This record gives sequence, C-alpha cells and structure tokens, in this order.
Amino acid sequence: MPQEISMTKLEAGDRATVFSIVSQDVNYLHKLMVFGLVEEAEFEVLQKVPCYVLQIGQTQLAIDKKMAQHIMVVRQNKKDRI
Amino acid sequence: MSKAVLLGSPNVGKSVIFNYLTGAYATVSNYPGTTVDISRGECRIYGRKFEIIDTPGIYSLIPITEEEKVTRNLLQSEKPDLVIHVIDAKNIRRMLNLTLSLMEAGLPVMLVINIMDEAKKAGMLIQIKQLADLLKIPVVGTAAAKKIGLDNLKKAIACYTFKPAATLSFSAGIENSIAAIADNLMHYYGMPKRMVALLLLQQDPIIREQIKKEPQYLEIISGISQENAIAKERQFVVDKILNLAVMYTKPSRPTVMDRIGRLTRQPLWGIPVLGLILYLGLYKFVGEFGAGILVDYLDERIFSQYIAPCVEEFISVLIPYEWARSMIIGEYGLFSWGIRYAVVIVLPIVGTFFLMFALLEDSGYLPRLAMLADGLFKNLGLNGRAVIPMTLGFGCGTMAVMVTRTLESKRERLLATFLLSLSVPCSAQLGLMLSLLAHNLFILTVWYIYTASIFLLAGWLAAKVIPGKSSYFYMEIPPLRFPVLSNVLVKAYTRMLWYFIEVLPVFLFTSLIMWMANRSGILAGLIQLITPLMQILGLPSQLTPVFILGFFRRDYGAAGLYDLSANGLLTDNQLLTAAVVLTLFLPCVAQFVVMVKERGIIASLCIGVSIFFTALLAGGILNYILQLFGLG
Repeated sequence: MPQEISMTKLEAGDRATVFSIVSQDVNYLHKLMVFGLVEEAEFEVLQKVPCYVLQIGQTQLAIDKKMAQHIMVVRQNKKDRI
Repeated sequence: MSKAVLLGSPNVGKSVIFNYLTGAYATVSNYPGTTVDISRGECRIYGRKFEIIDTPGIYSLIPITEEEKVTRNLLQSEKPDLVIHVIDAKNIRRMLNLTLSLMEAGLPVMLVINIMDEAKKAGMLIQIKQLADLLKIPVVGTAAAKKIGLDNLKKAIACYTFKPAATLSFSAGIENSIAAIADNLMHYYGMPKRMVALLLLQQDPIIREQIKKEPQYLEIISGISQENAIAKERQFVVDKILNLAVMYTKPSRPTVMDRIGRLTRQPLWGIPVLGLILYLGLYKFVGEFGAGILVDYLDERIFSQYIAPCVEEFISVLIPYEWARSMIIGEYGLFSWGIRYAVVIVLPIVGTFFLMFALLEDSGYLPRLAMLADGLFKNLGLNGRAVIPMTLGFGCGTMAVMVTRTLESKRERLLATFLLSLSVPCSAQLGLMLSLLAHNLFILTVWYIYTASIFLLAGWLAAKVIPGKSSYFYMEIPPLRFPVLSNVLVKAYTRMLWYFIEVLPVFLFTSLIMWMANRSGILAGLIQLITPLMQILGLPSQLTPVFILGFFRRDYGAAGLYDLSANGLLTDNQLLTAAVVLTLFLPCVAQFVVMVKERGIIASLCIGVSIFFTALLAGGILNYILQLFGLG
C-alpha cells in the first residue's frame, strides 16, 4: 500500500507524485498550482540543499522547507543506490 | 492606431520581443495608483501603426502579486485590439492554460511560442499549424533570441482579425455552478458573465471584491466551493490538445550551459561562481573600468579640458554678479559641482553597473543567487527574493529601494530598506572606498569584514525587533541562457535614463543647499557643532565637512576623505574608522527621498535615526578596539 509522506522526507534524486496539499491558504495553493504542483502531479527532487529544487515537467522550481512540508507525496521509485 | 498588449510569464523572452517590435524607443510610466511600471512603444508593420504595451510577467489571470493585478486591470481598461501571449515552448503544457483563460475572457488572443530551440533540444516538436487549427487562433513559433520567426510574428500581427473563440465547456457540475452565479449577477464587469462566474469559482480576489455591490452577493458567495476543479479540467483539455499537436523525440544531451546551470544551483559551486562574478563584474568592470578608466577620461580629458573652461568663460561674460557666478561655477556650484558629479563621475559608474546587472538578469543567474542566499536572508527576516533589491543596491541604492516593492510583506520591505540604507554601498561609493583603502590590504579587509558583520548583526536585530514572519520562498529557476546583447543594452540604457531624470535634480538641489550653507557661514557653524563627535571617533575636525557632505551623497564624503588622506592628514587607522562610519552612514538624499515616498515619513525617520546612531557606535567601537591593540 503506497504510503503518503511529507515531501521533506524525500531525498535528492527521488521521483514522486503529489498526493495532497495540506493547507487552507488560498494564496499558497495558487502559487503551487501555477507551477503545476497539484494532486497527481509527477516531479523529481533535484536537490534539497540549500532549498528544495523540483523538476516538474520542464520547469525547475525552488521552494523552501516551509513550503515543502505541507505537500504530501507518494514516492514512485526507489533511488538506485550503487 | 491599433493597440496590442504583450503578455506572458517571466523568463519567456517577452522583453526581447518587445524590444524587437518597438526598438529602444519605449517609454516607461507608472500605472496610476500602483507601484508598477508599464512600458509602451510604437511599431510600424506594413505601414500600419501599432501601440505595443508590455506587461509585467504573470503566471495566471488570478492575481497574487500587485503586478499581476495591474496586468489584469490593464487588459480591461486598455481594451486592446490584440493580446499577444508569449510562452516558453517547452513549458507549453503549463502555459497553454493561460492562453485558454485569455480566450475564455473573450480577449483577441494570438499565441507566440518562443524559445522553440530549447523545446527541440528537450525532444519536443510542436506542430504549429496543428495547434493553430485546434485552438482556432493564430499561432507563431519563434526563437527570438536567435532572431528566428520574427518576420512571421510581424506578419501575424499585421494580419490579425478577431474571431470569437469557441467557449470551452466544463463538466456538468461546474457548468451548473457557472449558470447559477451568472443568473444572479446584475452588474457589468467589462467581460462576459460566464467569465465573471469562472473567475469567482477560481477564487479571484479582484472580482470577489468587485461583486460586493451585488444584491445577491451572499447567495453567490455561498455557491463557491474550495476545489480547484476548474484548473484540473482546463489542464485536461490542454493535454488533449497537446496530444494531437506535439510530437516527442529523443532529447539532446545536456549542454555545457545545462551543466553550469546545475552547478550554480549548488552551494559548493555557487559561492565560487559568485566570487568570480563579484571580481570580474564588480571589481574589474565597474571598479577599474567604470570608476577608474571611464571616469578619469571623462573628467580629465573631456570635462576639465574642454567643457569646464568653455562654460566658465561663458558664465563669466554673461553674468555680472559674483554671487550668481559662484552659484554656478564656484565652490559647490551647480555646474562645477552638481552637474560634474552627476554626469562625469557617477553616471559612468552607475552605467557600467547597470550593464553588468542586466547581463546577470538576462542570463538567468539571479534566481540561483536568490536560492543560495535564502538561508542567510531568512536570518535577517527576509528570504531569497530580497537578493534582487540588495544586489541592485550595490549599483544605486535609490533604485534598490524602489525595487523593494516587489517584496511580499510590509515587514520585509521595511527590513530590506533599512539594510540597504545602512550598509549597502552604491557603486559610486564603493568605487571611491576601494581606491581610498586599496593601498593598505589590512585596512581594506577590516573595513569589508567589519561592515559586513554590522550588516548581519543589524539585520538580525532588526528582524527580532520588528514583529512578523518571513514569507515563503519560491522561485522559478530558468535555464542559464546567453543574454541577448541588444536587450541588455536597452535595459541598461532605460535604467541610466531613469537615473538621469530622477537623481540629477537631487544632485543639483544638493549643490544649491551646500552652496548656500557655505556662503552663509552655516557650514562653518555646523563644523563647530559636530567636532566633538569627531573626537569620540578619534578623528580630526577637518573630517566634519566630509560627514556633512556624506549625508547628501556618500561618495562626496568619500571624495573628501580621499583629499584629506592624500594630503597626509589622516593615519591609516583614522582612515579606516572614517571609512567605516561613512559606509554605514545615512543614505544619500535621493535615496532618502525615495524611502519617504515608499515607506512613509515615520518609518524613514526611524530608519534614519537608527542608522545615524549605529554608524557612530560602530565607528566608536572600532576606534576603541584599534586603540586597545595599540594600533591607533
């Protein structure tokens, strides 16, 4: 059963899908939506430091931890650790 | 004359297209009642005249920022004959949503798919004709930076005729909500009722405010749920269209630019890259070339040899009164001091800075810098977005204070303004400071480290004192691109023009005041008054005029320091203390004036007073430390 986790639990290189966004802040939700971060959106975490950089389609979006922690995701594939 | 509005997200190459259409002959004006500036230009296509209006980048018709609100209102008030929507080809899946929204609003839309070359590299082949047939609006593919497709663009603009777009149908649930709202609307809002209903359902703040006067307001509001089903359905339609109009092949291998783009996002590389940019851009280009070579040439070769003597002759002959001559060409004279400083000394420095800044802007580096600086700025109550005004502050603090408008909360705007006014030296001041201190590497380093520390400490304290939270940091990171030279030149030119118009009058005003103060003996009186303060700092009384001058313009003060130091009147440590205090001192008058306009008189006075005391305190402490170590 795929478990939804907070985006902050992902690592660089992980791919995931957005499950839900825990917020009532209309502005916040709108900011995410405009970049394609909506339910069922697929993305990849490019880096976590100094802030999150996500690849959503052809767009690279930087967000800080405060923004990332409200986004619940489902990890899609395990990072291959060589 | 037909009117066309250029619209699109940031980083899509809109300004390149605007400058291509209008040349450098555009005027920038303030949108009334807001802090947003709009560019307007004219262009002639096949004999027809068009007025082209450029808008700030928007992500959606539902506005979040003030700029987005202005663009929305502009679309309604200007009633354009054509709306040119410019998008980034590889982001078509995201951006076509806005195109559909514009069509839903009944606007006369034309789609320009720019940066087609990057889409091709990403393996996306967009079938322009298919897309045009599906959308039933004109579609043009361009790569404006490479000058591809621009002729087609002009043709499409010239041939444009408005055809009402087929309205997009949503699912039953949404259509019912739309109908219910539309039925209850009594007033007219400059767009079809269907559009008003759609905007309301999407939580649009502008319409929500406007419909308060509706008699059925409460009933309308109750029918609105929180879901963003409309966005989902629109995206579904976009995907269906793209399925038919876009073909995919294997993407090309990452280029060098891609790799550098990735590296500059990472702190390990980002910081050395920043160091390189500061060295080449700021120190070498602005400092050595701008403040050194260019200024020397303009001042010594052209001004002192040709222009000044002519003007002095002319004035001496024309004006018989000594006081009037002194006012123009005497000490602190309008011409000999005010104009000379503004045009010959500061303009080249500020101009080279603006050139460098425009290069950085257009390359896409600044969002990466913002991202790297976010952590640091969070400690100062700001976030990464403040990087843009802060960086501009190294060019011209007055302009930087204006740019603080783009920060989201009032608290952030206040904190940023405070820091800018306290310890971000403008390029003119920086140039002079460097030439002042460069002969002694030790004091140069101490100056730099000490003022940077004060910046951090003061920022941290101010963030603690002023209540509130910092806002979220989010920023699109565009690919690193080669700047388009013509665009860079136009941007730098526009800013230099602004500087000339806004700041030159202040210079003239300042020299008038100084002239009057000098003539009337007030200046001498002030010097007497302030000398005790100088003694606290361990500085000779000759420095007092330096600080008074420093209020009007920090670099006047620095120039005064330079003269004193060159005449051997200061020890190196006194020089260091004086330089530190001057750097932290009040911003120049022009910046203060803009501060009052932007933040209000009370906030500005508070900032001014706290800066005054911080500067003196910092200088005093430094002096004490230097004495303690026997270096005084």
